[in-house]
Amino acid sequence: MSNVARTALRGVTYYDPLKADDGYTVFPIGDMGVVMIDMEGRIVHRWRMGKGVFTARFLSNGLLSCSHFRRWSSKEKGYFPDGEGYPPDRSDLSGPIDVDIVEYDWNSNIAWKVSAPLYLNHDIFCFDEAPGDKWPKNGHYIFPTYHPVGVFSDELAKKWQGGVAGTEYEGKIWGDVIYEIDRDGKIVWEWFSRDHLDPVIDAFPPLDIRGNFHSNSVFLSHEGNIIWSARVLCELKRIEYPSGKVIARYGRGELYHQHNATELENGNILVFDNGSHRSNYYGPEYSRAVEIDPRTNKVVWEYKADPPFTFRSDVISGCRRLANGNTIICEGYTGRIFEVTSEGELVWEYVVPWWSFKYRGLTNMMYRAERYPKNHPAFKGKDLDPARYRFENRIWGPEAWKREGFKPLIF
Amino acid sequence: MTVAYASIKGLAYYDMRRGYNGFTLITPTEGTEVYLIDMLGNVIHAWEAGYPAAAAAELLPNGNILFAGRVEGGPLTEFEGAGGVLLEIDWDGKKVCEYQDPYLHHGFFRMKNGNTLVMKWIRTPDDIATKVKVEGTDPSYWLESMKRGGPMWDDAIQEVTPKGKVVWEWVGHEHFDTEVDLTCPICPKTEWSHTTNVGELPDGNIMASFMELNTVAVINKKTGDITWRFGRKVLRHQHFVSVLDNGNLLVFDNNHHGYVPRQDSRVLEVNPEVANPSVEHMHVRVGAQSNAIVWNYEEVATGLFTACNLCSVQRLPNESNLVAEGEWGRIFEVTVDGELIWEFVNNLPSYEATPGRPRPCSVHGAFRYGAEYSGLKKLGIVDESAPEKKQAAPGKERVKVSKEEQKKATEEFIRERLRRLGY
Repeated sequence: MSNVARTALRGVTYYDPLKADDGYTVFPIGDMGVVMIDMEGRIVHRWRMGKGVFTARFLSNGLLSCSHFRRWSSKEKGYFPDGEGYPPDRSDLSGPIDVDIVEYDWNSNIAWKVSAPLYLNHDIFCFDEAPGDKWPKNGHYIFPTYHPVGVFSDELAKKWQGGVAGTEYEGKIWGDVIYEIDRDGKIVWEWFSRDHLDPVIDAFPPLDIRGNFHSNSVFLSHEGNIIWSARVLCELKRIEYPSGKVIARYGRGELYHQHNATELENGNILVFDNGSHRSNYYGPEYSRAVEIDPRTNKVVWEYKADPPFTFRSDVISGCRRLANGNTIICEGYTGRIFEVTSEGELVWEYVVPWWSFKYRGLTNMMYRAERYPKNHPAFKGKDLDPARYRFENRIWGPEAWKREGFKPLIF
Repeated sequence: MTVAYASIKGLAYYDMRRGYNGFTLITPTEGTEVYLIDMLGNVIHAWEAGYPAAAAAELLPNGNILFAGRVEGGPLTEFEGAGGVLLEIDWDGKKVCEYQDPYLHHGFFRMKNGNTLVMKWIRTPDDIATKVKVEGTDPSYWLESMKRGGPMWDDAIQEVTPKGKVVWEWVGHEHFDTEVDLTCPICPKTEWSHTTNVGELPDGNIMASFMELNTVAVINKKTGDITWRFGRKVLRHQHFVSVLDNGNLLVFDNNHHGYVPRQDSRVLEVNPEVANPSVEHMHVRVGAQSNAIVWNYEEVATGLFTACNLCSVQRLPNESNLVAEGEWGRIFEVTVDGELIWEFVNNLPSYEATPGRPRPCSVHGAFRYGAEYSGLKKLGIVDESAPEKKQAAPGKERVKVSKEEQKKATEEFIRERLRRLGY
């Protein structure tokens, strides 16, 4: 790590207790499981899974629903999983490819598990998490994948516009698939992008590889349809359930390689705009958290840093609206979690101090971070005393990062 | 506001025994000054140029600085890197010579014969502009605002004498191949090539870096033909290329606008003698490899070395490299093995952070000059006290100083220096 200026500050670097939304922050730490920290950055609970976790979210029943890869490190130098058969130059296809969906209880015991569901990658969404009353609370999971069954026919691939010619993965476009599985892991609903997307309207952007659409999140909306984010398409789609028809498209020209679209209570969509390949722009790239009004397809709120390039994550990341109106943002690639008010003021900032070797380098990145209020049902009757993790907190807690101003290191 | 990544300024790291000790010339993007700092980050000298900078200034062997300035109200000021004026300023801040051309952009190259190579925008004839192709797909279908068409500009390279006479000119659109020199579909459609650097190779031919073409090219000085191209599918919007003494090229590959968006930059040393460089997709995080690449530097950690534009890299005499990560204003020296020796983040007077509204501390670039460099004579610090520099008087045997004594003296010197600076 030859960057002192950007690695010297770790842990909680900023905290305004009056404006921040008090609660616990949950995030995965590389191959080392999941941790939960309080607002001071002290570890209050830790789940040990012994393998890499992609997303970790509490369900209303208090279980921690996680997606994690069975194949996190590849044969190649033990770095990121390009996985077998995924040539490195097609890296955009290579998410984690074999994933388990596991629900853990408070003591890291497996409460429920579905194995290797069909090339699952990226996000999962449990029906229990869905807002409103349109969705049954039956514990089904819905998630996007790139499965061989979604591969386009050559005829269709030829029709599909955009992208850099010749960058198809093994000559094919791996069209994305969305699956819904029940508690036994059986597929109860499936959606194929080749059936519902249009080769002209949903073309690849001008400078992207034609491997797949790289879908990264699904969200079940209040109105009973699905909000689907596909990174490569630089657009959100609203998919009718169960017919599968694409009924609306949002964010063309505003979103660039976005992640983690969630619907807010007012019906607006909050999404992390990673910002790579902004059109007609060659300045320093920057990311944003963006709120889009689906009725007008206009951006009604955005957060970007000042100067903008200091908040940037080209891959992964996400954002969530909190109860008091603040937004918690996970700048995934550089391992920074922070909270901003609706006026864009920083009120809490945390830099992940766990570093591990993967993704072809040393990294403290995480896919998602979530904040839960202290009265969340999962914490009821639980011991959340940071003293239980005295040893961990001495290494990664606030005491480890306490410093009276930064002094240059001179040898 | 970002506390974690943007609050540490000034000297951050310094390994005194291994650094190429000298003085660093820094050209910030804010303000109109150029600064010379010492290894501990103290401003030793400053030049007021009267214009904001368009590129990184250089200190010439005669003690003057060569500075490319941006003239407000020029015809193409909305383009990135717009310039308009080239100044040579002496040590005391007096203009020695000035060359104006409203279409100048980016930097310059001072040649061995004393002339200067400059880059300027030149209007592409419309019949050629309509034939220009983009890499990937023509974005007209994607967004209304990205529809191609309208006036387009490419680049001319000129050799200018100290008196301001143009003695050689190369015009891009006369030599580009519309089938090979594909432009970027995402960058503004008003430009075809966007030259960021020019240089002179040891054999007298010209090296030019075309950012929007992702290409570093060698131009035959006599015929103007492009004889070597490198970078398609390897480089992504490289912004700084310099010619090393051994004839190799040192390239700052920003890794911007790649097929797969990734934000980690890298530095490459490329051998222009390799005909038809190969493209090997080896590196997901930072880009492709090629047989023309003889050395590269990448940050081992993700997301900690990222620059979309504005940057520089310099090979120092001790074989380490001085890198300026432009938009972050971070200047650092790394060994060939990628080990950090020195790190400094722009906190110079032109950077004034006001609470709640921080100004970018970005720099155009930075260059290091050793204390013995002839351009630094005016400083009057040519270090005669350093034991290894002491010359024995002719005829007399040099006083032998043991290694331990030398070390002690150096440590004492450093300690005294630090004490004075309040560390």
